[in-house]
Amino acid sequence: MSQQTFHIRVNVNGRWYEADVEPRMLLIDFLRDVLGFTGPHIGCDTGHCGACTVILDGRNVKSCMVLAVQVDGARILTVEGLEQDGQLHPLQEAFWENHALQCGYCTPGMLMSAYFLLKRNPDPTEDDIRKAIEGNLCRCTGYVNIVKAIKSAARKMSTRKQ
Amino acid sequence: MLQVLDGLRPRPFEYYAPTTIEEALKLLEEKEDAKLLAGGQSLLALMKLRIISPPTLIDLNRIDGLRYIKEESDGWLAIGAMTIYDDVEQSQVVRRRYPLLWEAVYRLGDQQIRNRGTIGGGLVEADPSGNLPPVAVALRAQLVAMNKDGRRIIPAEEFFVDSFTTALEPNEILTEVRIPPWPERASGAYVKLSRREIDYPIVEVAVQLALGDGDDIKEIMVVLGAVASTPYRATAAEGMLMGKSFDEQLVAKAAEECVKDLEPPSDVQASSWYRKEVSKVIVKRAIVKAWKRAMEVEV
Repeated sequence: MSQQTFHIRVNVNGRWYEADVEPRMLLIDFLRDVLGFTGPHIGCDTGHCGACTVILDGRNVKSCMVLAVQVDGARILTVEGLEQDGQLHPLQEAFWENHALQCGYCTPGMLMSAYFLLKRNPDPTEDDIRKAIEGNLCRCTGYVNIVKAIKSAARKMSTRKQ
Repeated sequence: MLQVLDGLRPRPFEYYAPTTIEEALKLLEEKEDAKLLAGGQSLLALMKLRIISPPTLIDLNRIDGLRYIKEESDGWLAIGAMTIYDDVEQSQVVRRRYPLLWEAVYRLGDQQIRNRGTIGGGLVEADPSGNLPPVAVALRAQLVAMNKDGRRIIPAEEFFVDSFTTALEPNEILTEVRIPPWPERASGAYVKLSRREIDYPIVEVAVQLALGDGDDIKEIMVVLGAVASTPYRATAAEGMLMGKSFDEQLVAKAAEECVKDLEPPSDVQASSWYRKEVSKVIVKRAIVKAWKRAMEVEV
């Protein structure tokens, strides 16, 4: 089989990048190995753990379940893009303050799912939060502090807006 | 260019991203054993595990006009095949008119999967444990298939022919799901039992019913998933409830009747015996919930 390659142009965290990819390259491999964004992690590689979650055109998706060639022209936000001018995002602050991580492996994906939730619903209930992180597995925290952190970030973000 | 790692990665394939349905249909005729890529939330996993290795992928994501939810003047609801689950879940029309569909999508996968997976993909996959097949059957949905010569309509009840196998011909693409209007006093419910929310269901039940003048049942569909290779319609249970007024004991009897002929599979989620036993409970819950919703005594 002749090897196809595609030239793609992708905006990651506000900057445009271009590269040639073969069709079978996954978005997670493109982000990590081609562009060097190693924030999104590879956990299970079968679409269960959510460690590779990024925001693709405004929605959280598992980047191990999307092909790089599919994101030509798209805007992607990874965990690296959350801080602005050296200031942590309120979600990152809240995770830190509430001890919402232990080993930290799930954190980059967890943050992106929380980010999508708070964009859609700035004042989520505990149930809303638990529903929103269904696709992100954490084996250290038991989720309690993660839920607390997301609640606290929601409060911070609504006070800062006022 | 960087080499793709050999680990859990798909074998090489040719990739096409047509921008019109005509172009996609043409490619489907030309490329042997090509697979259509919709949301990719199951297909890419199978390809990474190398359970399947299609030589060609035809990506439907660049085709405009396959992502919509439209209420038509004759009361039918038309949903484009590439409509993502999240759009269906967020739709007020779906939630108001077909709580059964809303509930099934709300409980499908996780947010990331609902942001990417499509209603067409979920039906065409025909996974015996999928949330959507029993719902499509219970709602008496019609599935619109296109090939290069035109389109045809397949009733949901005839669409699922075996596990992971549909009535679609190799040169056909599912383009739309059409749900008929149900009478004014109709409602439905989707109840699923699984170990964790993201696990495959042990059993899932879709019920849609319509009431007569009182609380009597005029029309009813009871459809089980995850207990057979295709959605299992419990016609015996339906027959026992037709014309009857609300009675939880009668529902329990109908639920017993419903599982009599079942020979569910044993797998890592549950044994065949357990599936059969617990199905009685889930069927009863789903019918009671749908009935109460139709009577407007429960949301």
